[in-house]
Amino acid sequence: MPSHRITFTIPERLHKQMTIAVPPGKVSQFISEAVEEHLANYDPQARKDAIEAFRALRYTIPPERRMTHGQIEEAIKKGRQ
Amino acid sequence: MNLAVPDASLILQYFLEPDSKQAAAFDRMLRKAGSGTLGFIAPHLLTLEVANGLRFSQATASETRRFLDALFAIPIEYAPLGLSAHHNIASWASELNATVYDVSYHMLAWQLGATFVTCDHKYYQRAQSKGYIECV
Repeated sequence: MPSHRITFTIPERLHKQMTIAVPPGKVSQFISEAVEEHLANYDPQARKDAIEAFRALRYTIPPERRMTHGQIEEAIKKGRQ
Repeated sequence: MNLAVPDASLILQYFLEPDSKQAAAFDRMLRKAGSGTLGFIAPHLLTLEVANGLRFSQATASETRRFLDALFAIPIEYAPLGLSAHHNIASWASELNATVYDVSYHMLAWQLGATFVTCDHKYYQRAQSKGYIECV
């Protein structure tokens, strides 16, 4: 099968994980399989739809039940105590 | 693509204080993410902190469920923080007199060259010297 040699950059944490998990000489195969799997599941429209569904919830809490910034910070801290 | 680490308060503001400038800022980030020009990454702590914030809000159970459903559906990569990150988090928390929870978001951004986007002005004042942080 024809192939292309490419250079790319990945986060250090991923590189470390890959070095541990993938034997030397198998990295190209591992990357090819990962890209193939990701492309099969990659759906830009689904990404947009999920974000729009999230945005649609922005004003769903009625004004009388909204909180101030300070109250939200306090709510977060309550769980840390 | 730029990479952002949103904190829990930013997301909670979106639902609970939707007219705030912070909610508007997060909305701009969401639109960028929708167009593929911005990516989100966060520690696993994010979803628990959002759930906790909702639990102590006046959101109903069904609203909380809907918000969490929507949060889990948007493209946020949840990254594990390894041992060295925990060492750094403990060190920064002590140095900055901050909680490890706040620092965990910031550390993730620092490790990845991303931007930690927070609404917490107090943390920002203490930690801005580390870089990789923006306060909205």
